[in-house]
Amino acid sequence: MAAPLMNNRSMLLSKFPRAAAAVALAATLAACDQGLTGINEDPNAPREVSAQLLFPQGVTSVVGLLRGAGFDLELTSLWAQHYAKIQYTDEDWYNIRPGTIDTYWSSFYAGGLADFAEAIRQAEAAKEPNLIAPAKVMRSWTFGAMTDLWGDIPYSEASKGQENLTPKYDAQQDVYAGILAELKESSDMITADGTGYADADLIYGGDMTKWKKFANSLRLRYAMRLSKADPTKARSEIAAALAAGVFTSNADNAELQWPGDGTNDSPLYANFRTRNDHRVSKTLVDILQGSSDPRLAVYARPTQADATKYVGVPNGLKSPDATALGLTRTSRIGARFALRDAPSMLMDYAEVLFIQAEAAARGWTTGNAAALYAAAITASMQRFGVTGSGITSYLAQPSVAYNASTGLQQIALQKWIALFGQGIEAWAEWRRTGVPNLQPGPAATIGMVARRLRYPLSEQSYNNTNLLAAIARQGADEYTTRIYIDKP
Amino acid sequence: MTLAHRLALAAACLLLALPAAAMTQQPVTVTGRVTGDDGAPLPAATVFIEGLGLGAQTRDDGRYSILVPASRASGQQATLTARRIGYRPTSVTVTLAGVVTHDFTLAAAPSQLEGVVVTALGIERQRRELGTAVQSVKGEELAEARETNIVNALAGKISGLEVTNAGPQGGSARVVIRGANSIAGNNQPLFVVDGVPISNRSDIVGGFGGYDYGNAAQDINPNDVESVSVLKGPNAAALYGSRAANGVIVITTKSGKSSRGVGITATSNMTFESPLRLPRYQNQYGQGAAGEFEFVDGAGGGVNDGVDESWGPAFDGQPRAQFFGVGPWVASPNNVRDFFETGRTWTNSVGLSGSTERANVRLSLTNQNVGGVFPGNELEKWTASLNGGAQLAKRLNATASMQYIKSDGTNRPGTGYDVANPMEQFVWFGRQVDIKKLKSYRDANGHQLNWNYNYHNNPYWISHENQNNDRRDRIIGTGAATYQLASWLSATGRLGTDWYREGRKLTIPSGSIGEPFGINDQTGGFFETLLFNQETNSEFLLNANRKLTSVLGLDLTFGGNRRVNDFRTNNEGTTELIVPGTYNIGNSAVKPTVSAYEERRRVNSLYGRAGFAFNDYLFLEATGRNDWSSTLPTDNNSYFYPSVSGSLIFTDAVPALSLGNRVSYGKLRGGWSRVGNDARPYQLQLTYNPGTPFGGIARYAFPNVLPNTNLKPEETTSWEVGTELGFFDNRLGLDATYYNKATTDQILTAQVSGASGFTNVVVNAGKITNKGLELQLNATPVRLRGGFEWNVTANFGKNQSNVAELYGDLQTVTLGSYWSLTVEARKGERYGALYGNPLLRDDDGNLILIDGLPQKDAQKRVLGHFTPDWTGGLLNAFRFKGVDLSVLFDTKQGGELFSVTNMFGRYSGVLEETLEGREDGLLIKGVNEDGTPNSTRVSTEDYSHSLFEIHEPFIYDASFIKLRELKLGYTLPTSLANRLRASSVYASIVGRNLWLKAKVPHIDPETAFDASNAQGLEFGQLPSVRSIGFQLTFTP
Repeated sequence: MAAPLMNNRSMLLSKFPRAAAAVALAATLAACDQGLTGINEDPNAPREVSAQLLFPQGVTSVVGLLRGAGFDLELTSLWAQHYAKIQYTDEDWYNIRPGTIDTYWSSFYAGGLADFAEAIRQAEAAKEPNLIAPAKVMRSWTFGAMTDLWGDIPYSEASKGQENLTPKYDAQQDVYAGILAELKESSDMITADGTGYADADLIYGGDMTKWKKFANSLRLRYAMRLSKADPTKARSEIAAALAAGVFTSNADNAELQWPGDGTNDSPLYANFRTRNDHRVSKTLVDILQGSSDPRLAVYARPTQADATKYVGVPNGLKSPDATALGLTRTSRIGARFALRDAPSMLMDYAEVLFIQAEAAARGWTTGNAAALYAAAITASMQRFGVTGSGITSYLAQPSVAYNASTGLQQIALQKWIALFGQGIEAWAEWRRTGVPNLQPGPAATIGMVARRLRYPLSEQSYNNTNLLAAIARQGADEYTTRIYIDKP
Repeated sequence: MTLAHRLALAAACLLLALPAAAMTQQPVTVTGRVTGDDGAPLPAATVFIEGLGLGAQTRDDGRYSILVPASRASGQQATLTARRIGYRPTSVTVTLAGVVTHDFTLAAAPSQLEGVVVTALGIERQRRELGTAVQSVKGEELAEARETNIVNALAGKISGLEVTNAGPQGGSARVVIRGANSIAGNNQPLFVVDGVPISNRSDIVGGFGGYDYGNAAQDINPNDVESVSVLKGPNAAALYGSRAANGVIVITTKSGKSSRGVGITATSNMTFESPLRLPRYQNQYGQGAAGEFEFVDGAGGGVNDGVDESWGPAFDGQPRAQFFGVGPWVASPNNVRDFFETGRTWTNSVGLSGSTERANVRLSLTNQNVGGVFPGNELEKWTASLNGGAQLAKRLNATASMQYIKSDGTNRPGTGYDVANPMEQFVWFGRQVDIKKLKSYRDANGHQLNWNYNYHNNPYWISHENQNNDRRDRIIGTGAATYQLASWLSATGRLGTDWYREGRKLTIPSGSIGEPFGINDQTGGFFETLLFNQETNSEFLLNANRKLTSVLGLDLTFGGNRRVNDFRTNNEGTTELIVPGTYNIGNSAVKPTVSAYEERRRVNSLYGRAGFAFNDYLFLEATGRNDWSSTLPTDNNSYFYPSVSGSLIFTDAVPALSLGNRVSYGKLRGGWSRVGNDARPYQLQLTYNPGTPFGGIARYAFPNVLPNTNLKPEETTSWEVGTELGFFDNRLGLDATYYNKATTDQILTAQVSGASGFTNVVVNAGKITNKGLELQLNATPVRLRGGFEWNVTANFGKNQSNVAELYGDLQTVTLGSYWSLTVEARKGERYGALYGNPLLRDDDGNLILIDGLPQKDAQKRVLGHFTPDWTGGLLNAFRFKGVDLSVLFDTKQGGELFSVTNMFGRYSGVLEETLEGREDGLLIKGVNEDGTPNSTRVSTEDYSHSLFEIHEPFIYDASFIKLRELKLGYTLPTSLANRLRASSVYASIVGRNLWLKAKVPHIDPETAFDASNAQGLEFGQLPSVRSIGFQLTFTP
């Protein structure tokens, strides 16, 4: 028996080191696989992109959201009573799905604002003021709309990423101060000889002179918005903005031209191609018809049933009541706004003139209020393709012609009309001026036209301490709470 | 490395303990027959000579034959053991000399307490050795009462296993064992076929449209399955890796070992399907609003003719303008049911097998053709399966298996709230619409004809014109070679891959209403997706198995694995064509949408297992595994995870405990394990997202998810204890398990305030705990001499989950949302909370009404959870002579669901309950805002509309009981079968989902949009199907 035992043992002993070596080798290979980390380099997306790629993304994102299905189309143009819904009217009587507000909130901060923040960071590192300024102007344009929607919002601590996952809310007063300061800073840093973002500048194609005017015109807008809350600041800011140079013709208008290529169609076209839910508001149609305003034929389409008639839909009806008015017997929104490549207006010359008219009427400037008022209406008419006698005969009407005793109301009403297509601005102006005298629809769940938007529910879950501080400062988180700029 | 050293040391110790090997002289043949205790031959039983690594499977007549080479037979004594799944193994001692004949009679083990189960790495082990819960199902139990998705076929058969079947035929099934481990990641078990992990990928579809192409594991053909073992706890993770933390479903395919010469089996199965449950509709009022309707253009031009609700005039039989012209105003009570067709599923399978002393092979071909209940829907699958093994040389054995699967889907119905789902418009419907008048869906001018032109497409247009086709080609293959280094030591190398490519194309023609999928109604358009998925595992194993002393056995395994995953997808499509009808990207009139994605992952692993057996009644096992994963940061990418388990057959250890044979079998077991898990790929770096070029200007967006460069592996820790008891000669068996597990450091994409600039951050945070009880009861209440037998199997599983911790101050992680209700993992709550708006109430619980109508309470709260309290199954099987009958009931109790069919079906006035108060209005019980009782009557229409997006009334108890399977079979007597030139013929009548008892009205509570974690949501459910048919199995 001894021999087989020896045999067997030597056989095994000779095998064992081989097996052990294989094990050791495998362990070494597994642990020291240098390729492992490289496998996790994401092949699908770059880790660095230039400011020239981020800036147009930010611009199209925020303009699409504010002028499109996010706000103007489904909320703010309804609340300004420019548009009304004939089907799915919920938002028109202030019944808003909180989930959509969550999405919009993130679409601002983690969308366009994040793109602008990164573009600014890169441009500042490269010391390129003509890349910094347009991004800051667009950021201010966006924050201005947001603070008008909600009041207090995260501003100074927003978009800081890992540094601050729970940014505090700034009082609207401070947000306005920040916006006005940043617009001034932007205007000051622009060097007119550069081309900025060049082709990637979807607003002005790299014309830095126009960016400078846009910065100052926006400064004018947000300064005038303080007319009740802080008239002193409003006055001084308006004077400074005018001195720095604002829009001087419709050629200066800040607008985004949609390519209309199937993937980037204008927001109204994209909605109307499949939906037939929107109409012009009865409020608007009545006012335009009351003064035979030639812009009616631009803002509205005649009814399908009778091509000689323009019929508006009252705001704030329950869906069945609205639908009962007849899809074919009411006026859709003007065809020019629903073109596939229709532009979205960020700010136009008429608004700049209306602000100057109001400043003059308030005695803040030495301008001629009546002349500025007429010029503003003319600029608006011209922008919408109305020319010559159409304008003069409109202006000649006694109800339209400037009357110093009712000047502020006239300016406010005409500005509201001219802001068609920029619903959020018209709604913000209505809150400041109370003109026209908008009333909530019969189905309204609140006793008045909404004066702000409620905060998104997501903030309760993810940023509650700061949210509660803002509510404590500003007032209940309701549609009826007045924000800082909205004084009775 | 330390593990390797330890194992090497153990192996060295083992060497010294080796006794002498015997000399060999003459070849020896061991033959015999294996029969059951009823005398019937047992095919596919394994007869094995212990210690020699030689064995054979019995043929159909129960006979076996093993040839022992001369070099290994020396007249020594050896243990000969016969085993078969479902029977108690039996051993005898034989002397290996000359021709040895031994017949075995195996006692059935209906209690499933004893016998053989397939465990990790395909190793067949005695149940008695296992320290953790494993439950098995025989292949024929899956193949007979035929269910096309093998996951659904497990429902009710395994305790603690929860199956949720998502709507359409061929759609996804979700399976979760012992509750969800992961807050937002994968919670489904790993599927393993013949030792190879396979993909069970399924798309997240959501509730707003899309197509459910099913879960990938449904490609496995039940006809080819020998057995399915479910490893419930995470202890198998050492051998299968992290993914086994959710349990493992081990599928073993049939081999050719059991046949001698050539064996043929042919099986044919045909079933007919019809909707199990459709909503109950009202049939007294037709389309319209406020009692009025008159059709002019179906888009608002007439009186309420754009309205797609049934609040119109009462049916009076009088002439009224409708979509087809003027006709009597009458109900069409069966207009939804009549849309569906009788489905048929025809499965034909032929299996060829053969074996010699040194080789065996099985080849099978199966065709399954499903004609769906949805018009135009067809699913076809071909499976070719090859499984072989050969003794290539004296010490070298090789096996290989390969399955090729080709599956084609034609016109699957769309799901969710979407125009492509026909059930969507049946929730919004006119109860007068005569579906037969819609069947020719074009008018004289070729335009689409429909009952409404404001929202919907003709349902037959959807099913016939919207072409939606998919095809998957898949190969699952494995090859392994084992070299016997010594009688106690073997080395195995194995390579396995699961490879598939899939193409899907959706074409929408011109002429649609409302531009479905954004596709231009004038030109049509299409979307196309190509998918490629592959997982390859290469591994080596060293196995040592040795009796150290007469009472102590040691079993060691050491192995290494490299797993490589590769996934790619390309998408292209256009919303507008130049020339209608040509669905090619070159024919796009607008900038086409194109996208691509690829994902790679590699995990290297080393692992070991040591098992000790003492006196065949005490077993201990320890495992360890170290992974190196590509998806974690280099500093954190290595992680080790161990497990231990043990089992004691106390009735063998202390025979007195059998209490005079009343306790025929008693086992205690327990196990503990900790499993690490890696992240999804690409969670570590910030990357930018491309936007579509704006005109000619390129764009990139700053990312929304903040990555984490310091990720570490997440960890699941689990323990379980259990007992298995057999009474009265195992006629009554009980298997009970209590488990407790916690997953911590979850890799979580946590939501944060968008104001931070990110919507989500990747973090290591959060903890979910699950504890629960699993019971299986097996009994043979009646067993008569005449051959009558009644067996009962009951399964019960109760799981309690708790979201113990989340990230920072975070109170919740959203898993999904639907109509502003969210499905959440909320801190301190059971997993899967349904968080929504209740009805507004005062402090006393009275409804607060305004103008007589209920109001929404803006403060959301938890209204339910989708996770059930317990699941169970009850199988009764009767056998008498050639006749067998089995009846399986399956239940889920507890848990809730949010039914949007009920919400919108009430809103639209189509459901039965909307008849209440139609004429006189409703006086809702409640108080006005000032606290006074309500006295304002409201119309049923206004009341029904007022409930929109108030979730509480539409949250239902999701409990149900289903008659899941019914089978009545007959085995022809052998003499009769022989006259048909067959060795056996078996015929059966089978039925599935025959009866449902549920608390939720109108729908089947077993419902889902996909297999993701966002469960408990329903809208426009495609009806689940009742299936009745027959099967014939013919063995020449």
